[in-house]
Amino acid sequence: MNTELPKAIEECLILYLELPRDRHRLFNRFRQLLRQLFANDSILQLVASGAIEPLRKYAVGEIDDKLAPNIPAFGMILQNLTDQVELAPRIHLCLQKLAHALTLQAEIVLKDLILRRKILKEGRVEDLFEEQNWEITGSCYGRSMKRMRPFYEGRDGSRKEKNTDDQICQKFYETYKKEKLTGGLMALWCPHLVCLGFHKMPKSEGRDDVFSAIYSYFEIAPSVIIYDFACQLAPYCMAREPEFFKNTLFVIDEMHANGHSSCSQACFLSNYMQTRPDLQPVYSSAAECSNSGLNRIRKSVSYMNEANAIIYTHTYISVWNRRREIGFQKQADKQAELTGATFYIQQREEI
Amino acid sequence: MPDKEGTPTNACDCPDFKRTRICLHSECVEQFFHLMPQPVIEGEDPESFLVSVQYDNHLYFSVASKSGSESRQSQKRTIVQRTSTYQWRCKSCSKETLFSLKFGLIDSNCIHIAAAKEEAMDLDLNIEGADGDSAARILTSRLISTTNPISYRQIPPPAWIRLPQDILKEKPFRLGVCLPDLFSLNEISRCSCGSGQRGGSVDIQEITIFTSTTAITKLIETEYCIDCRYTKGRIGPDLNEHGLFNWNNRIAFSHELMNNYTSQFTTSSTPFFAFHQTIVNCYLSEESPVPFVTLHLFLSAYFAFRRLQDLEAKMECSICGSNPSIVIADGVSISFPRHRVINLRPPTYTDKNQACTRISTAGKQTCFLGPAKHRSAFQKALEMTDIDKSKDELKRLMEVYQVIMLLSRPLLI
Repeated sequence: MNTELPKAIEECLILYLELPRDRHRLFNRFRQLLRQLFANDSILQLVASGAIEPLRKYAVGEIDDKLAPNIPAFGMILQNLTDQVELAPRIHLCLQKLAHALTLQAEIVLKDLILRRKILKEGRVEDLFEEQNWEITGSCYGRSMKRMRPFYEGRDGSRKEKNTDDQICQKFYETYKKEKLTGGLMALWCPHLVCLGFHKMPKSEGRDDVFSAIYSYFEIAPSVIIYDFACQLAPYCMAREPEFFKNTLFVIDEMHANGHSSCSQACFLSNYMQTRPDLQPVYSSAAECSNSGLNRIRKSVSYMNEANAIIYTHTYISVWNRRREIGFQKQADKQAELTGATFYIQQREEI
Repeated sequence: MPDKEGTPTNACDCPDFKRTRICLHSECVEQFFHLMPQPVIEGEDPESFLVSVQYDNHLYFSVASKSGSESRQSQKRTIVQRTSTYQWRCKSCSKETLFSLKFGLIDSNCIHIAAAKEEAMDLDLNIEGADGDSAARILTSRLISTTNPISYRQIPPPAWIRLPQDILKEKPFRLGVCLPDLFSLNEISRCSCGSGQRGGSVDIQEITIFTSTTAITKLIETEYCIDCRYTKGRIGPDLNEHGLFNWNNRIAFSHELMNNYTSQFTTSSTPFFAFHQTIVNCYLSEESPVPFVTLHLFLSAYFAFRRLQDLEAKMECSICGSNPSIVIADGVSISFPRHRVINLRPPTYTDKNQACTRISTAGKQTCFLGPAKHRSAFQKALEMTDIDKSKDELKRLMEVYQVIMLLSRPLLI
């Protein structure tokens, strides 16, 4: 039972009401923090697994370098406290209490999500042989299937699950409304516009497509997943596979952020760009750009049968990836010639 | 369909056949049966079916005649035509058409026309406007053959997307000037059935090679296939080493022609029809000895060629590596007709018996642990542009919040 969080939020509210309005930036940053505290999103969106440790340190007065990148809401307030000699001690005290309460609550929620899962039958990779032929299945991720998506009893197909879509986020997929056509294509891209895989969707796009593709085909979950419906993808993934996705940040790209009026700032990539230099150069609309290229085959595919549609789409994406790869190699050679630098592959430290 | 003796027989409803048992339609089916594609409809015949599109947007539908009550209906069908002036005519109900014309009605609307209209709407055709192109595409897409070609060896990717790690390398075609006059059989030659069993006599026949600019005629050695002799299957050389795709020992396509289409449609929106027309025009300009193949044949050959071509990309960025830290997901409406879904198995597929996890309902996950209504009231107050009003509202809400907290403290998780 966490009774500290309501009290800490109340103290933050009192402090906000007393803050002088002439300190515009500080005032606005505090307001942004409050908006995230009163958001509809899960606490794990604001306090992700990576943020728990820096927050815990801050609660005892130690400001860790990882605090601002993991919780920009805190980081941006602290940045504005350097010239606020009078206000700083009081704000620090209030934020430390809040940090402590948030840490406790985030841990409770994460633990709760993990404990509420019970594996009734574990899928065996050996049973997935039939799923590997992309020409038949329409799922091509250039790697073997790592695990099978389980049926989540109590979640999949439940009425409550369907209703949550309508209540929280009003995102609307107009182009998929044609009932006579299949749902389209779900594609995963890297920020360098290389397609990491795709699958043909029999029904219209949903969070399940992103969740299943990543869970089934990736050895480890990516650190950041950018998706135009990330506000709903995060709770969907965390409810089903909290262990797998606990270190993943789910964010909405810059272009689609405007459409999400009821979502908190913690869901937007732009929020993290303020404090994370690794995310600043990310071209978040890469998928939009690549998908607009895919529109070249839209008309032709709409008249094809399943087998030909898969081959035709695969041809387009393979050619696209090869062209990107040739482009990188040319660029790398040019850079190496100019600077003497070497071209290297970035491997994840987690492996 | 088979008659009572089990012999394949055809029947026609035209007056000539009724009178003499011989008509142009039945002769056509009998003589060119082997050239006709597989039946496009499985199971019982549909009520209405788009069969042809002719010049000037004339659409023809085959409609179940439906005379008499349901229990007395035969398998007979009638033709409904939609003219280029967007009028509907039924061959069976010409009297009704006359009646409607007499009384100033523009269109008759018999049950057959209604069924044809329904089919047109199902196919997303504009029934009151020019939609001949869409109808032609639908018909063409139905007729893509899945015949196996003679060529079976893996085809290298085109030079313009060749990566250093690719093992296979495409040789330049150079307009076919380096091609030999006779393509000989060798130990890796095989038939379209997949058999390479040799033992018959070797014949020499003509083969037409279709390139991007003109057709070239050469000679080819073939041999009867022992395994599928009765279907006239012949073993022929693969021709991969010459940059050719052997379709059926009579027709071959240059790899550069097929790669040319891949280049076109991946660079700009180029449907098959547009590309085919460009090649047809080119053949006319170059005074090709043989005209270019039909669109249906080209489509079938292109997909067979692509199945053999090693275009497989790693689906991996050389900068991000095999486990990228940032992934961008997005859906795009590149879709095909839903009724054509056969084997699709997206990763969203689940089977309770193979993998199942039970999840019980989780507790409250938001930062604010109070009631949802109260949370949204705070949100609205914080979003107000007038700061003074916002503060007043927040003060009021906080007072309420304090009371709620006092009352519900034992209930908090």
